[in-house]
Amino acid sequence: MNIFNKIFLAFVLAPKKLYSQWGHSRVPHLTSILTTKLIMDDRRPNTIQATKQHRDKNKEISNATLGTMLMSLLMGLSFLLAFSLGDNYVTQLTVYFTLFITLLCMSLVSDFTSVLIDIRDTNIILPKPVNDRTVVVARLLHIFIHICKITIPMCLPGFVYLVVTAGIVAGLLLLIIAFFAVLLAIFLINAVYIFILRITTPEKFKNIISYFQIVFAILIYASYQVLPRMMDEITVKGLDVSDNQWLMIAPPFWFACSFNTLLTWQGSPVEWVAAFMAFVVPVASIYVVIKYLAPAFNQKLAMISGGETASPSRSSGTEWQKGVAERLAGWLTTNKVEYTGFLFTWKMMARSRDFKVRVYPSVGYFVVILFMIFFRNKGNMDAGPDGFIFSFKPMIAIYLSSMIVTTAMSQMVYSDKYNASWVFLIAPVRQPGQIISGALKATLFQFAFWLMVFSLIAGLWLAGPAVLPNLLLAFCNQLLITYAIALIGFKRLPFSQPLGVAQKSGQFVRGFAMVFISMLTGGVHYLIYQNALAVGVFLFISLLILGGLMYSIRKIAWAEVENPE
Amino acid sequence: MQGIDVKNDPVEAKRRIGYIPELAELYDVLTPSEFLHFMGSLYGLEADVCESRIGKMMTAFGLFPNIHQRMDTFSKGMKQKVLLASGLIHNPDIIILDEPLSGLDANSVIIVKDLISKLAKDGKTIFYCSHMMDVVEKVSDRIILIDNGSVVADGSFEALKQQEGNRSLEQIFARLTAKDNLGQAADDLINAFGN
Repeated sequence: MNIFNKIFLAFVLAPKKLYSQWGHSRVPHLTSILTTKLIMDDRRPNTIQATKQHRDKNKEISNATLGTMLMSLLMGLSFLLAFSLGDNYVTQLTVYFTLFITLLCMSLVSDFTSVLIDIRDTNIILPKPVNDRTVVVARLLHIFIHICKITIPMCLPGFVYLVVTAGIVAGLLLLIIAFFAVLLAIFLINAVYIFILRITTPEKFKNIISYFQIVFAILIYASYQVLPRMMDEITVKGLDVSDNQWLMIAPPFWFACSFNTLLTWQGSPVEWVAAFMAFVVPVASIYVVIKYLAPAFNQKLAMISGGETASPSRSSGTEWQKGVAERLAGWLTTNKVEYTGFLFTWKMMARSRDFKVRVYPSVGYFVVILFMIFFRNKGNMDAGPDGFIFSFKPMIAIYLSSMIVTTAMSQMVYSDKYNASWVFLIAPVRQPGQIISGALKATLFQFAFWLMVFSLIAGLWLAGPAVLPNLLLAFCNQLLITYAIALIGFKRLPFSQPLGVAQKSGQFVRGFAMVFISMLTGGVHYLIYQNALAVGVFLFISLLILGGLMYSIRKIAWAEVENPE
Repeated sequence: MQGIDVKNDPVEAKRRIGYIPELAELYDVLTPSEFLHFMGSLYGLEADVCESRIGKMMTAFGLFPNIHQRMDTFSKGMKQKVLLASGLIHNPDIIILDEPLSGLDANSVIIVKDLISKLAKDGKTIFYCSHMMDVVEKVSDRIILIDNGSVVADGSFEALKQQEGNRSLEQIFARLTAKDNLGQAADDLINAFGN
């Protein structure tokens, strides 16, 4: 255990009498459960680490707590941007608390199932001679410690800033108000959980929570990209939130008002009401949590742990999806083996939670970048007299989408259930290349198709129909890059490799080759894109090479396929 | 149970029970040593008692070299051994085993079977749940066959044999529980190729 965990543990266990007499729980049990839980927290990858692409399993995770706290500290630092806006505390703190509550909720919502509520407890702790009170108190204390680990570093930068600029009272006031904001956040998370459990079955619960993780990762990245620009605009416009009456319903506004009114003892009636809400609503909502939500919550959670009741009836939605995948496979593949490879990969990608957690965040990043390319400086694009660099933008977008496919492709070969790939090895398949080819097509279609359509429409809209040959060339090159990279780097069957296998030698050369191919194709295209004839010739060559590559992928023999062992 | 009202004092009852679940469900980011210490402390064992028992049990199971390795890399059999140790660490009077042999290698199976009969000789009560009828037949003093939640047979293996004719436990079980003829099911499977 690291120093922070030790401090927290000593701190929460200090009122021993309280637990043993008032709470009827046994302190030795409490100590050992909490110690174990904190050790496990330290070894569990946090949201950010979990979504990293190349998780190295051989490197054991330890001190994950420090990572989590550091992340929170960084988030807390980013909140300081709020103080550069406008010229009054109400405006600044409204932004501050918006960021605070949003990020706190996002980080807690995914932690609640993965860290705080471990369904294995039912099997491991409950058969032991531990009384129920002890288990409940241990769980509450664990949740308390976890929330502290996130909120304390998050508040720290704001606290320091206010102490330095406005004195110690302002700093302490921020901490007090932040405490109420945390209460509200807990209420929101509980409400979200109850809501999710209402609309879905417990089996799907974990899936939905992993979508939260994905959205969380993308949101952080997007805000990192977008916020500074928005800040510029807001500063120029001289934003002042107190002009807006509708803010009365926004909790961050209440917290901001309560800070201002309590610090200065002055403010409009509206601000006083808002300040009042800042204290009453969180307390009321926590009461609702304890009184109504928590019992329902525990009941539902019991369902998650015991709920293996998969409903045999399929919804009509899945029927439809199934039809689409099979029809696509029919159109895009040429024989049974390739068809099977396509369908298998398509369905695995669409359903494997662990694949989604690894790939969707990076796909999200690229989508953010794509939007940035098209919509940032759009004004310049319309006005730009030369339009040289700008009209190449749609093509850049298409080339970038090949990065998405490459990411998906590089993850598509890994799986938790890699052992199940024995099915390919025992099947009478002469050329595994057919399977790989089908898998590639599925990946391309699932990840690049929508982006390509988007780029096509956006390109035509921004630059007119004259750009079409160039778009087609970019399309073709994008496919070419994907296939070339697959041929160099991924002669593996879909979902057949264990996660985090030791990087094989030659990885660097491969990586270099990939970058080189993309740069070369994209670069040549950029040089000639204004010359219609050259574009036509390039398109022809590119198609030829693409055909050749597709052929060689399908001819990959067993001897060339990399096996996990 | 041993003079304890299970309803009123479940905790005291649990203290005397060692439960070994079937699914290798444990906190696998911990090491065996950490996990077993945790388990021991939940049973109220002193740390040094735990330490010496863990050392001895893990040595007996041949896991001593792995005692400080995280269990996420362990095979199913290794996890099963740790689970067995966790259920026995407090020397319980009553032991509940749910498919304890699953995933174990042949030598460990022998060790565990031997262990079960020695524990029984020591006067411990053992509940052994399994679908492996040939093992049940050998290790049990009293056999209860359950079909869809209701008891269909209860008695020693000898008594069951007398009741149902001189058959193996597997055959007795099939006779008592199978609604349709099992031979028919096999025939149906064969006939599935017939189109």
